[in-house]
Amino acid sequence: MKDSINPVVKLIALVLGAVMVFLIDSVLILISFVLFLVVLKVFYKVKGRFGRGIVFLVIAIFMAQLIFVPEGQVLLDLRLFEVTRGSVENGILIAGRFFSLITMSWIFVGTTEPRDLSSALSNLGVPYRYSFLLILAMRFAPIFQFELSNVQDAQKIRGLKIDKDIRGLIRSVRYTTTPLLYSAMSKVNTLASSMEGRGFGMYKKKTFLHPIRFTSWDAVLTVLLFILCFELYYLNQLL
Amino acid sequence: MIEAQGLSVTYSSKDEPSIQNISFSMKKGEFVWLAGKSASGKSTLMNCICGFIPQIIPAELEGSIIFNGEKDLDPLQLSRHITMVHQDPETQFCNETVEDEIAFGLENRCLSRRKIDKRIETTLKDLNCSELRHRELRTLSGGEKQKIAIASMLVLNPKILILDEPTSNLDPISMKEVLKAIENVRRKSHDLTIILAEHRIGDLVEQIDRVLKLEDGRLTRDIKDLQSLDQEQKKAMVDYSYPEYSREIGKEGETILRIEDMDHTLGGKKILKDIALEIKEREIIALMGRNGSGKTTLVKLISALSEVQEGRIKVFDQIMDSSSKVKPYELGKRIGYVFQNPNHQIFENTLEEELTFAAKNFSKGESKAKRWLKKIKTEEDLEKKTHPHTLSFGQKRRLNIYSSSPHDPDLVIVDEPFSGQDHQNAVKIADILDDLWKEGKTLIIVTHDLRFAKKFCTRALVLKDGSLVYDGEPYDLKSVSGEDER
Repeated sequence: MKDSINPVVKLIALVLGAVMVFLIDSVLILISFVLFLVVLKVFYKVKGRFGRGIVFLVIAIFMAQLIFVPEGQVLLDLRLFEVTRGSVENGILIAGRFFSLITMSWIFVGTTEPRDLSSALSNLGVPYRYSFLLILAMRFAPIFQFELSNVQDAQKIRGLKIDKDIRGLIRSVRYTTTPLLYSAMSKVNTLASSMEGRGFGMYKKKTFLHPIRFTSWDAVLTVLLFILCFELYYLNQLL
Repeated sequence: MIEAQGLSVTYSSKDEPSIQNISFSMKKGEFVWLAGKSASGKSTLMNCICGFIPQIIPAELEGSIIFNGEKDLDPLQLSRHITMVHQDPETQFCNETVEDEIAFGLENRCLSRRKIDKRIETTLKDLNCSELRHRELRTLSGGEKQKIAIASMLVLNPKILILDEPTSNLDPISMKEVLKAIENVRRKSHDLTIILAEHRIGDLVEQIDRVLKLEDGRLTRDIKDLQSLDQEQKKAMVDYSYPEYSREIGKEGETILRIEDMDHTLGGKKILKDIALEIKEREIIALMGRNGSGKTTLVKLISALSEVQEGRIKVFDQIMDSSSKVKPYELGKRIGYVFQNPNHQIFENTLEEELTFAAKNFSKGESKAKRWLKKIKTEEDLEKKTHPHTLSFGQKRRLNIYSSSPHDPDLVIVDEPFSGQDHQNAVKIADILDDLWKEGKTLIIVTHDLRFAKKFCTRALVLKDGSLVYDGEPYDLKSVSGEDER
């Protein structure tokens, strides 16, 4: 679901959020923040579910803290290791930070049109040659993902087995990067020709068919975001 | 209007020039067919006309392009007058929606929003695709994408429109749509000069004023008044056919593939519906259907590159369903698979290593790979140390087929082998496939080429919107699939 909030404000919120999750060391606040993000994701109907990979990583980060960083009062003795209050808190904080960063980025990408972000950044004075890179990145990310999957399929069907060690990793990189690189090179030339052939870079400025302007409401929202962050930090110090 | 004087281009990766000493001049409003085999220098010449060589695509350029008396303009200056539609619209697009893509060039020229809006509306109307305006590009069919690529160039009101094989990746229906769109453009704008590089132009030959033919980088023919030729002569220029292949098999072979009640969903969309079929050994299957009808998904499922969701596939002695999985490299011993994009399946740095790649992985077939290497070296005049990525598109495609099968798989699947190939290259590919069949292999060939299917294949399967709508002799196909011969 898209919204009417200026993409630049959302970008500021993302950066502030990323800083805040590292500043917050109160388990209660971080859990509340995570829950807030989950509600936000559901509210905005951001597509995609938390995949197995993310869930596995969150659990792995939590478990690593639980096992390897025992601190404070012992809550449970599992013979192989002791579960301590400090390790549980650290586990929640670090896994929560990781989860928050992923979710915030997800919400940002899911609710922001690259075109709008590019337009909004240009409106703030960022040269459109640079802001347009965002659109290109979003446009070509799924294409390269599709190509990567094709290359890996071609490797498998021609019998390439990659061992899960350093040598295997080197072989995998070698046999994957060469075809991808050649494919990308041919695309780069066509894309550059297509863009320059339509006058990209002809003038310092360009028209935006759908301009996104930074309004006074966006300014108010930005100030509110900063105030909220300061309040959160203050609350974190109190707890 | 435009003149080329002694154009020669040599790429740094090659010793020989790709085009040599080409000179011509074109008048306002001419419709020129740039003919020639793959790798004859057509794309290089078109990139010179637009100024992309050497500014964007590095190469050594001799000679000049003169536009309206002005010499050696850069691509940005030329972009005011000349635009080029590339072979693959996916690579050309730099936005996510139809409207943004068409607006792109006008935005760069700083036109007002009102003018941009009006020009988009008019251009889409001219191409009979106004309903696409608010669609996302990824949701369009192949033909629709190519029409939008043309619209994004036409909207700039160019004086010269260059089309580089705009239909080479399309199914016959989409191809007709695009050729029709070009015909409409031609009818509406007689001042527009059109340069069309295409292997198969069909009925569009009636509109063409002039033919420039390139051979091995040289301009060998310049037919200035094509409309003075009679119908037979014109037909001979666009006609093509495959040789006769002897097919003395029946369908009495053993069943090697059985698919039962198979459905497959991707991204919430049902790609395959209720597929049930059997394939016997030594059959040659033409798997046909429009772009997006589910052909590639089906062959990926057969070779275990996608997991079966519903239904069951038995291929040789392996069973795949929602609970039983088979590893692709296990099936790879018996299935050779040639993907659509040649670059995605070239892994090694020399021709020799590339040909023996699968043989080494499966520990089988190295001697056969070496035999093929000898054959390729002689036929294509190549060295065993030649880097496979320096080969031409046609040579890469042939290499792909050889390198998929040195270990003697029983079934070889080839996904769109003729896409972007001229007829001579297509016949060479057909000959290689015929050799594989004579060795005793079963073939599944995903193709849009109905003439090939009729001459070469023993059976045709046609998919439409994920359903199998035809299973039978290829020569009955026209009435069933609605596809025309190209």
